[in-house]
Amino acid sequence: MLDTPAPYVLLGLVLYFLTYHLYAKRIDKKIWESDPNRPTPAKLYFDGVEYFPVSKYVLFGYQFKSVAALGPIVGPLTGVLFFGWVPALMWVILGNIFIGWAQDYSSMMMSLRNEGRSMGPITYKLLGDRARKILLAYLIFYLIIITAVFEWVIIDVINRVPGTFTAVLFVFLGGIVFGMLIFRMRMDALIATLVALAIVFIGYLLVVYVPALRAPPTNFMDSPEFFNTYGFNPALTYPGTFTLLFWLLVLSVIYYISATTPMPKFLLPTVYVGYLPSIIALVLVLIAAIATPLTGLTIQQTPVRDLFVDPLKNPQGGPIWPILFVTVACGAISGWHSLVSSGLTPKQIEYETDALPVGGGAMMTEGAVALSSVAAIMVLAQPPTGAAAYVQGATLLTTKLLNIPEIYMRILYGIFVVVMGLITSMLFVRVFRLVMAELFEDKPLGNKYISPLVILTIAGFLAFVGSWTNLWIYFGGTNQLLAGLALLIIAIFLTSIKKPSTYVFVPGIFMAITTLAAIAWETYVYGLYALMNKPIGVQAAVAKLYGSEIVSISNLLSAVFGAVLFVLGAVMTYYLITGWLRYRRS
Amino acid sequence: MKFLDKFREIVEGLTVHGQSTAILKVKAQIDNLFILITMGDMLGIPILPPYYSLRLVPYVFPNIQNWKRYMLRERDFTDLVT
Amino acid sequence: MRGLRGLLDAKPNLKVLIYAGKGGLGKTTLSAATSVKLSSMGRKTLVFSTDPQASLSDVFEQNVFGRGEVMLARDLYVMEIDADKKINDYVASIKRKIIEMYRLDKLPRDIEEYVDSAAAEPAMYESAVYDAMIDVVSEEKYDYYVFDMPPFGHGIRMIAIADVISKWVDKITELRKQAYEYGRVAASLKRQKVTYEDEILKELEYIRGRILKFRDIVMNTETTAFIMVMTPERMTILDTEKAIEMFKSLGLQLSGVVVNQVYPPELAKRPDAPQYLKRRVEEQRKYMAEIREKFGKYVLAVIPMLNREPKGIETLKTVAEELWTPTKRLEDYI
Repeated sequence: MLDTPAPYVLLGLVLYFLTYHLYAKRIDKKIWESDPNRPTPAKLYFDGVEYFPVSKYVLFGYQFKSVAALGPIVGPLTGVLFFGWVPALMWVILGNIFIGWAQDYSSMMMSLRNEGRSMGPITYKLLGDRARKILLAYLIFYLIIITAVFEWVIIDVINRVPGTFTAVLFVFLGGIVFGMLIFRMRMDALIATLVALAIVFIGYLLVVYVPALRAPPTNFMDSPEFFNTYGFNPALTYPGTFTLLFWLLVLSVIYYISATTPMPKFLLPTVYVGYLPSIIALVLVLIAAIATPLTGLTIQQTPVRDLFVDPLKNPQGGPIWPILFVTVACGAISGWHSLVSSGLTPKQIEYETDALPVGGGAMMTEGAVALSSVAAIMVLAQPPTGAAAYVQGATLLTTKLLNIPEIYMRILYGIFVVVMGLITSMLFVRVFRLVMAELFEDKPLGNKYISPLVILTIAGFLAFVGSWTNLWIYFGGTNQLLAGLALLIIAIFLTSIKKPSTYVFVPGIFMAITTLAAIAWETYVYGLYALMNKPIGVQAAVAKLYGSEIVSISNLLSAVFGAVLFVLGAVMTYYLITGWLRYRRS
Repeated sequence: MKFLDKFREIVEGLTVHGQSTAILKVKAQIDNLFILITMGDMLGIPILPPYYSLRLVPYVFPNIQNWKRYMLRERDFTDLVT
Repeated sequence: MRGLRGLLDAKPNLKVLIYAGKGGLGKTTLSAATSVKLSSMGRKTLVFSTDPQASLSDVFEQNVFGRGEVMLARDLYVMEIDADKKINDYVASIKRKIIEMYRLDKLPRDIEEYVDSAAAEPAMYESAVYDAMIDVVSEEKYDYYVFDMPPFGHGIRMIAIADVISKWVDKITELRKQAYEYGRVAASLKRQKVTYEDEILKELEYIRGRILKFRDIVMNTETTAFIMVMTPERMTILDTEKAIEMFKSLGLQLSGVVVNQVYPPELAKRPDAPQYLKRRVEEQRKYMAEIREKFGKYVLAVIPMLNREPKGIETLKTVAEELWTPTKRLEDYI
């Protein structure tokens, strides 16, 4: 029993449950004093468009969907591969208990008490324009890095799980058909949904039953001799390969279309149609993780490994502090959530008392997803790196549970990861475009058709040349620093209204220092390798193909990004701490 | 509320709520443009003869309120996220 | 001078006669006389005016102001609309509609202000008059319509930009349909029904219909005649020249000019004629010559100054006959 993932997943769930009822509810009552009779922005500023009261169940679903994508899946699995499953599991559980839900819930509460404003205007109100501008600059870098990371994750799965792309094309087809049916043909949404799902399902079955459709094969653009020559594993994805380049171009086209066409016609229906089967996949893997004692799958992974890594020997990874805390982001704590939680949801909360079940509840549910992801890796003996490991683990778990041929689940989880990745990263490219439009207005950089090219070029270059694990740590670092900043902003707000703020201030300081350290570490590694003119891990492939200069340029670029992010983060942290002290004194 | 209703609402939130809100936002932008054109004399840009544009006032009345709020509301890059 | 009769012979389908020109030139008298003549021929005629001063009530010696269509004699109907009242009623009905539609206690202050300030615009008065004009013509109850138009202002631009407005309405209708589609899809996703039909589309269609109708009435040279009224004076000659320019720029066609309040030249030849009258007639000859030179082909009739105020149907008949078939030639006045 104890050699299966089930008890550990259950332990996490029980602890989340207890946290919700014993800790979270107390914070809600004692500190925020949530009051169902206090009018919320949804009622005060009702406009029927953004501001209108929505049931807490609907909002819970919406909030969960908005926060949970690839983050809680890829982060935990990478954490397990770096440091073993015990540290990863502990951080997923403890991080969420003490920090994760608190950030999501408190950002939402803060927005509720600030006319439904989002993080930017609240920062401006509390700390002035400079702090807001730093946050903006920070967001731009964040979007570039996260896009590069997601490109890698998606391509890794498309490349290593042949057939996924064919099935995903059917998802796009379903989305486009759905959009046309409801807009052009004025069809009822339910019927249109069924038609779209039928298309997706047919695509899925075709890929499962017709092996010829499981194309193109892994690394199809590169010759087997190439892999032999350099001693690479032909089953893995390597930077610098033609296959990677090919898929990067394909993704760029998809991103470009989704960023420049009207949302309701392409992006939204695709997201909608793609998300429906994903829900099934998500629930299935959680059940399978808990059912491991019945299916007979046992833990194959080392509980604890490599707590410190010498960057000169293995630059991918690093010391457990701070690297673990940025590797596992979503599921434990994610800064992106602070933006989502202060976005649409607080504008639609009906009663203040709904913020905890919606904001806190969604985060803890995401914790459950992260637990299932940890479980999926735990049962693998020889996990490959990257997101494809999750596909392998989830396939193993669910195949045993349902007792069906493995191909069914492999394709399902391939689609799942790619679609979830696309859903969020399409949005990132679009957000980047909108942010640039606000910043540069009529200048070329603000142009609707030019600004997506900027992010696609930079992110594409980083993804093409970069080592994905290092990119992931960068992403985690920026994401977690955002969390630290958000927690400190909440602490300042609470102090400004004369409420205790320790429960967010301490985690905020912890996250800020940890992530600054992690960014500094990665900057150091990138800088070191750039100066030594050496490739980082799998970058060796790029170095061999195109020369070490291009690798060094990429690493230097990454180091510069890191330095900029570090400075921005450090300045912002300084502002926040001095701001907090100032508010405390007055 | 029965369990089934709760479940249905959660699924609604997971699936259509975001899409429908995003579509409403696009609709609101079109509505605002519409008001700008028809009620333009409010801003000193008459396009329709005033005698006739008055006929539209009852129908765009709720939008006028939203429109004013929309024009006055601060917009921020962090709002672009959702 | 071919007279009104000549005009009607040339345009057998004529239905609408519009008298235009500055105030105080006798437009109302000429409109009334025209209607008296047309109705006396057994054709059902409506004479229409808006001007509360120098009004049809005055000319017909009967209060018809704001009373709708009033029958004065066989086939002779008169209508003098109270434009201010029409505007006030219209604005009040809009306000009432808002309050009823949204079940309000009272109108929000900003909306009230907006509606009131729109109502006070000068173009509003003209638009209201044209709207009433469209109404009566559309009903097609009469054989002839004689309009005593208020002096042109910005409102007449409606004709010139009718096409532009029509295209605009197309655009905003398209916009509106788009918004409606988005609303429908959003509702459909949430399993709700869109319960309202888009009333705005109907309103927009109505507005376009009105504007195009007005354009059709005034631009159709077969059925509509614009007649400028002028007097042999320096100022009105200049004004008429300007008006003709404007007509051209709007694409309207002037059908005729009637010269009113002209002293008969033989008056000055009488031995007992006072000196000032002689001088006045002398001066007038000069202007008549100028009129012939400038508007000669347009002049339909010259109406001599009457020895008493032109009031009552009987008196109007003499004016009407002169208008119908002029007894003199234009040269006789020079």
